[in-house]
Parts: sequence; structure tokens; C-alpha cells
Amino acid sequence: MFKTILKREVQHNLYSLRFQISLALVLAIFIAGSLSFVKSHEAALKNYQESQAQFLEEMRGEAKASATELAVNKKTYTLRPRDNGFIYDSKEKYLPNAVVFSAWNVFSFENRSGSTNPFFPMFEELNWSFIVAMIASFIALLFTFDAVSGEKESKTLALALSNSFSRGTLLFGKYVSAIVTSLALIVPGIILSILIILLSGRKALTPALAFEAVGFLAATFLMTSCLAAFGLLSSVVTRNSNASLLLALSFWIVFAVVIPNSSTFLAKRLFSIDHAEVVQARVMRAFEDLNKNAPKGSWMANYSNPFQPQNELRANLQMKRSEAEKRIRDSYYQAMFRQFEKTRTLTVVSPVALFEILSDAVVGGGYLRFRKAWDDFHIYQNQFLAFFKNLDIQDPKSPHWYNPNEDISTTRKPVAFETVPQFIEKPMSFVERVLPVLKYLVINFFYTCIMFFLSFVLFVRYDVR
Amino acid sequence: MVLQIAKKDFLNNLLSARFTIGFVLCLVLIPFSILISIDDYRDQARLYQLNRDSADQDIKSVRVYSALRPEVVKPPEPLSIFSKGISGNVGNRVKIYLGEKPMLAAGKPMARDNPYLNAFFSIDFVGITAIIFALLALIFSYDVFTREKEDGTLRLQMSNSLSRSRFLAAKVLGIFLTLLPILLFCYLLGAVIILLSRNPSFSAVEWGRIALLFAASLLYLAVFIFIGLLVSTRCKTSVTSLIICLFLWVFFVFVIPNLSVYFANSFVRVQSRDNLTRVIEDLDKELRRKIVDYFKTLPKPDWEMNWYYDAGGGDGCKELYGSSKSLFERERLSSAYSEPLRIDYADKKWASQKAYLESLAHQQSVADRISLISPAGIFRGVAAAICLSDANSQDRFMELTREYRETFIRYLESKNIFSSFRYITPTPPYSFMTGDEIIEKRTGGEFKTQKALDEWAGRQKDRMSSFEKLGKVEIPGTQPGDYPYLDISDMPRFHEQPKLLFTGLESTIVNIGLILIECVILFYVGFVAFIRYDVR
Repeated sequence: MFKTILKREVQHNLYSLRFQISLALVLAIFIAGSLSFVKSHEAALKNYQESQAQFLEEMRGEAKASATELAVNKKTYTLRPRDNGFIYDSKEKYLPNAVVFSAWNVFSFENRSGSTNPFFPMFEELNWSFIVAMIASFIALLFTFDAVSGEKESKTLALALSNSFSRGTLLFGKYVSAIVTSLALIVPGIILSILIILLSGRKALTPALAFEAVGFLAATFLMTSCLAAFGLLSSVVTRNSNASLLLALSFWIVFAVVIPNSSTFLAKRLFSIDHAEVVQARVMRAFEDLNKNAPKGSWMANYSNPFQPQNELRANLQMKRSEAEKRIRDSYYQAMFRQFEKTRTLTVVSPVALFEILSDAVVGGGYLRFRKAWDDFHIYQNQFLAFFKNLDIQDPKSPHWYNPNEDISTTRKPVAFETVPQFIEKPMSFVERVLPVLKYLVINFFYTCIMFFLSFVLFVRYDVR
Repeated sequence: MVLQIAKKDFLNNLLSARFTIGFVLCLVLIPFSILISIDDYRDQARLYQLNRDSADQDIKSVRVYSALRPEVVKPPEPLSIFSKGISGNVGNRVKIYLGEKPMLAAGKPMARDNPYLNAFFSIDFVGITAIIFALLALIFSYDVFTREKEDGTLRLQMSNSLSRSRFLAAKVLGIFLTLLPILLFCYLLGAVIILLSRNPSFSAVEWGRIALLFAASLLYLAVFIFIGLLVSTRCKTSVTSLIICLFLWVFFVFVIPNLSVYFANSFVRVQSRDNLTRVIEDLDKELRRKIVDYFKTLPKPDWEMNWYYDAGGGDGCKELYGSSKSLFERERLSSAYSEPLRIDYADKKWASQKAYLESLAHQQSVADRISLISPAGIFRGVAAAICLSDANSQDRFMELTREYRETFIRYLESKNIFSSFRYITPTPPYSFMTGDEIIEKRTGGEFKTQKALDEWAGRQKDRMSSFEKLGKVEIPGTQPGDYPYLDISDMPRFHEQPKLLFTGLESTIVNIGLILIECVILFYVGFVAFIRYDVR
């Protein structure tokens, strides 16, 4: 019986005007979004290649000058624009996308100037995720808001229930048909988008792309299931379809617009962290303390003789200052990470926000990507430092007094650039993507079950006359 | 008769579930959005206070004109509580340099404390209004004719002596009467929350601009009511009309505003920022080379040592104390040459900077033009202009900072300061000494000449020991602390243009005109369609 209901409902949905308009809209946005991505990715890649070439050129120049210059000079490494941004850009243009480092420290992260036009308001790219989060979520509600109240109004509900199937079967049939219809809208769009991307030569058909597409579809399935359950809930708590519609739209506005866009406010209120100027003041205080307690003559410099004892005093002081600053800043960065993670957890009341978290994992982008790059950068920095110390130890003309800011008391010999370790960003593995979002998958599943169960209970008690 | 029908519709709507849910939605979301925006504003105000105090402190604690570089700090715009526009993306601090014209302000407020939170966008009053009122307008108008036709009451109404145009007017009036109180309520609620919060406090001009925003919201509301009416006249059933209206809502309110910016971002190229940075660096290198070349032609001083030297501020900043007369003179000549040249190079850099800014502005204007497809896009643009948080407002501010830089340069030139010792040191020229005189004084007469000191130091194990000899006797007036800070009471200050009721709205006249034209066209087409509507 379930099959019959499902078939009838799916057919009814597929032949409806809302499906036809949805399909036209979804396909148009998929095409527009994919074409725009091809063009913008080309420009972003060109900018990245230019900045990367300059980065390497600067490093080469420093290596030629001296190993110490290479080690102490601050460099900014920019992350490569992701070529799967057409699935989800993870708002990376607004997030930190560059790391400032030297052999001695991974100093900070930044959003490179020029990442976006500052005269633009903040905007969402028309990628797959936007289409699903904004359009498919809306469509899932549109196919369910009048599933019960609409049939009641047209007097067909009582007729349908006079047949020999349970209310649960009918509700489940309607529920599954809404999910199937929503997915039937998205799948052709995804295929079309992949075709455009493949034809443009931006990306080849690889197992990774197939995995990402399937993963994205799974996330879409979870989100549409949850929103369809909310649609059914709106339908069974009201007696007419107009009220159901407004209730469903209210859910949608809250989930797709209000919660994702008000999290910063909640983060600041609930999980506040120190302001940047407080941290800066803390660093300055630490510097002052170290300066006060430093042996006399620690700031004296004699650039002509590296072996001057003052150089050792200054190297010690600079090293202590660097370590103190690193401790303070690293703890601040950890506080930032915690604040972001807690805020993200707070947004899971919205299925749309949940979907965005899952999309991040599917594409290996956004915060997850940056955290991995940040951790990998610390490993790389240790390798770079070990490489430098090894060079220094081999130089008899070096006093070996490590100074993270100056090039006086360590080796001044040039180094072959080809031997210098380079940072290469590794793509995230399956485990690295899935593990951090496992709890969100579970939340999504139970959230959907609860909503459907609530709808079922209310439908069982629903007056169908 | 028109009023009677309007009253009947108004009362019907008032008792409907859609009114209750719509009203509750506004009641929850409007205060929420205002509270979020007030919180943001307070953060920005705190940051502004910090920046301004720091800028004031910096400018008051300089002793030489070469270190005098005022910083302009832009106060947050109270009206941004209603529409944030681009205020979160652009900075609020502009340092005035001789060597560079202000291009973009520094210190983006949105990336200040935790840049990861940028993954969560924020919404403002105008954003919420644009979403909810478009929806309510469509929800109340989609079935104006279809529902009456389905119920059979439309035919009945038309059998009276009431003309179709009067019937249409009554229906429009009925919807306006329903939605106007909600819109008014939202604005009053926003105003009450602002008044209760006390910070920010609004001036009469700002309240006037909120009244303008309300008028713009009314026009926006009218456009969507007329869209709903038009769809209702073109559809046979309410369901069809509803579906079309909802898709139009999503398309106009969510798709077009994002699509317009994304399209412009993808298809309109802007110059590379890295490229601009390289061009500026090359020009800086060229300038430095010229200065160094000139420096080499200057006569060598008798003693190459400064007792205190600071050039940390860049942009030609040099602060010297305890130097010999000839060294002071060489530095004075160097500045007299370098600073006018630095100003000339700022003009050279500006050519590239301007081209970059123009490419950004062009890209933004393309996005604006595409967004004209959507009434929501137009409304957001108009609202940002009214709330002074649009790109034009930022552009005007930057233009003012550039003008201020010119005024500041004229102020320095009027004092003929670049060729004055006051540019590099507060030490009065009458107290300058030769190198030998300084050495004799500092060593307490132990060494009469620099040559004698150098010969002695050459025989020592530690060459630094000569510094110990030089530190024997302190000469007054050779440390920064020996001099008061500069009196800059005559320095021109930056003044923002006074805000008037219509400041910055010139560019939006076209947009407001477009909304009006849209209203007229939609109403006219709806009217024609209704005249020809089959009421059976």
C-alpha cells in the first residue's frame, strides 16, 4: 500500500506547477552558478599563482642572501583557491586564507586583502550548497505544507483514510514523496553543473569528485528529510493550508535566514573572548617584564662582530620575548577556535545550518580546512627550524645564538633554495572530513526522527473531517 | 462603497491566521534584528573610542614635524543599526601620509576579534523587512481575485454598480490598511528599542532619515502588493497564484541580490591587489634610490653619530638628538629634498591606486545594475544610501580624507617645514655643536677630538668601550625628554561633512524613481488584466 501511496504522491508532485517552476529555477541557478564559478575560479587561480610565484621568489632571494635571513623573515603563505568551490565555497573569501610564519614561529592568520571587493555587501556564491540551503529547503516545505491541511480543505483526506491503510502509512508516503521530489529537482542540476565544470576543463572526473557529489547528495537528503518533517508538522498543527503555509515559511525564515545570520551575536554574548587590544596589551606587558628583568646591555647591538657578548644577551632576550608572545597569541587563537566551534554547535537547531556544516566536511573546506592547514603549518615550521638549526650548526663562523628576529648571531651563509623545505597543503582525507562532523550527522538524524514522530502523533489525533 | 469593501477586507485579514502569524513573526524578528545591530554598533563605538584615543595620543606626543602624521578615525554610523550596508567590510581608520594618498581605510570591524565568525553572516532591520514584508504583501494579495472567484463572490460583486477600477482600488486599499499597521508597528518598535537603549542617540536628521526609510519601505511594500495583484489576475486558481508568488519572492529576495554580486564578481575583472602592491613597492624603491643618490652627494658630517635617532614611523620620519651641527645640516638638506619628492611620488602612485579603485567601483556598479531586476535589490540599495552605509558614503569619506591630506600638506608647506631643522629635531640651531665639541663635553674633557677618541678605542679590546667614555657627561638637550611636545594647535583638523536630511541621496534618486515606475507599471498592468478578467 505504501508503494501505491508513494507512487501516487510522487506522480502528483512531478506533474504539479510547483515542480515545474522549481525545476526551471533550480536548473537556471545551477547553470548560472557553474558558469560564474568557472570564470571566478580562473581569476582567483591566476591571482593565487602570481602571489605564490612572488612568495617563492622572495624566499629564493632570502635563501641566496643567508640562511638566517630566510629563517627570521616573516612570510605569508596563501592557501590555494579550492577547485571544488562550485559545490560549496564555505565562505572562504571571508575567512582567514593566509598564514604568516617564519622558521621560528607560526605567527598569525589573515584574510588577504583583495580577497573580495570591499564595496560589495557580504554575499553567498551561487554554488550547490546555496541552491540546496535556500531553494531545496524551501521546496521541501512547499511540497509538504499542505500535505494534510490541503487535503482536508479539498475534502480528499477523509476519503483517502476511508481506505484500508493506516494514517502512519499515508503520512510516511507523503513524507517520502516530498523528499524524493526535492532530490529529483537537485540531481539534474548537479549533473548539469558537473557537465559544465568538466567541459570547462576546470576539473577532471575523478573518484574524489564522485565521492564529493555523493556526499553532498547524502547531506541534501538529510536536510530535505528534516525540513520535510517540519513541513508536515506545519500541516498537521493547522486546519487550513494558508496557516500551514505561513507556519512553514516562518520555520524556513528562522532556519535559513535568522539562525545562520544571528550566530555572531550569540557567540559574542555566550562565548565571549578577549578583544584583540586586550591581547595586545598582554603581549606588551610581557615584553616590559622581560625587558625589566633582562641583564644590562641586552639591547646593545654590534653588527660588525657577531661574537660580541651583547649579541648573545640580546638573542636570549628576543627568544624569550618571542616565546612569551607565542604563548599568549596561541592561547588566544585556541580561544577563537573554541568560540567558533561552540557557536557552530549552537546553530544546529537549524537544519540548514547543519547542512552547511556537513557540506563543509564534504568539500573539505572552510574552518575544517583551515584548522588542518594551521596544524600542518606548525609541523612544517618545526621541520623548517630543524633544517635551519642544522645549517647553523655546520657553520664555524656562527656563534649559534638563536635570535628569532635578527640575522647577527647565526649563520650568514647562503643556502640552496631547492633544499629548503616547502609547505604543501595536503587535501583532507575521508576520516579527517567525517570525524569532526559525526556528531552533527547523529543530531540531524535524531532531529528528523523527532519531528516526523511529532507530526505522526499529531496526525493520528487529527480531525480529518 | 470603496471604503466599505476596503474595511471588510481589512477586518477579514485582521481575523485571519496569516495576519496573526505575520504579526508574530515581525514581533519576534524585528526586535531581535535591532538588538543584534545595536550590539554591533556598540562594539564599533567602543573600537572607535579606542582608535580615536590612540590617534589623539599619538598626535599629541610628537616632537618633530616629520613624525606628525594625523590619523582620521571614522565614527560608526548610528543609522547602520537599520541597514549595515558595507560598513562591516570597510575600515574606519585612515593615516595621513605624505608618501601615499588614502585609498582604502584600515581596520575592518568585522574581522577584528575572531575572523572565523565571518562564516556567520549577520542580518539587519532592512534585511528582515525586505524578507518579511515582501512575503506578507504577496501572501495578502495572491488570492485577491482568485479566491473571490473560487468562492463565487467576485461575480456577485461585479453584478453591482461598482466599477472594476473602484473594486480594484478597494482591494488595494484593504491590503494596505492591513499591512500598514504592521509596518508602522515594526518601525515604532525599532524606534522604542533605540530610545530605551540610549546608546546610540539619534539626532533630528537621523530620525528624519528613518522617516525616509519608512517611505521607501512603503514603496517596496506597494511593489510586492502589485506583483501579487498582477499574478492573481493572471491565474485561474489560488494555488497556482500562490506558487508563482512564492517563487517570485524567493527569486527577487534571495536569488537576485546574491546573483547580482556573484555575477559581477565573476565576470567583471578588477585589477589584482598584489599587482597594485608591486607597482607601489617599485615606486617606493625608485623613490628610496633617488633619496639615497642625493644623500650621497651631500657633504659628509664631521661626526657620524646621533645620540638619539628614531625613524620608526616611516614616511620620512626622522627624529635626531645630540648630533653634530654638520650631521643635522645633512639631514635637513636630505629632508628638504626627499619630502617634496615623496609628495610627488604619492601622485605617481595615485594613478595606479585610482585605477584599482575605479575597477572596484565599476564591479560594484555592475552588481548594482543587475540587482535592479529585483525590487529587494533596489530597496536594499536605497536603504543603505539613506542609512549612509553604502559604497558612495564610504567613497565620500575617503575623498574627504584625500582633501584633508592636501590641506595638511599645505599647512606643512606654509611653515616651510621640510627645509627647517624643526622637521627632524626640536634642538634649537643655536645650540648645535661640532663633533669635536660634543666629544670633549661628553668625555668630560678626556678627549678633545673625535680622532683622539677613535685612536684610543682602536687600542681597546672592546670597541664598545668608546660609548662608555661618551656617556661620562650628559649634555642637556640631547634626549627627546628634554623637549616639550609640538604645539599643533594651528594644525588643520579633519571634519566630516555635516549630515543633512538628503545628504548622499542624489545617486539613489534613479533607484527611487525606478521603484515608483515599477509600482505604476505593475498597477497599470494589473488594472488592465483585471478589466479583462473573466470573473465567472
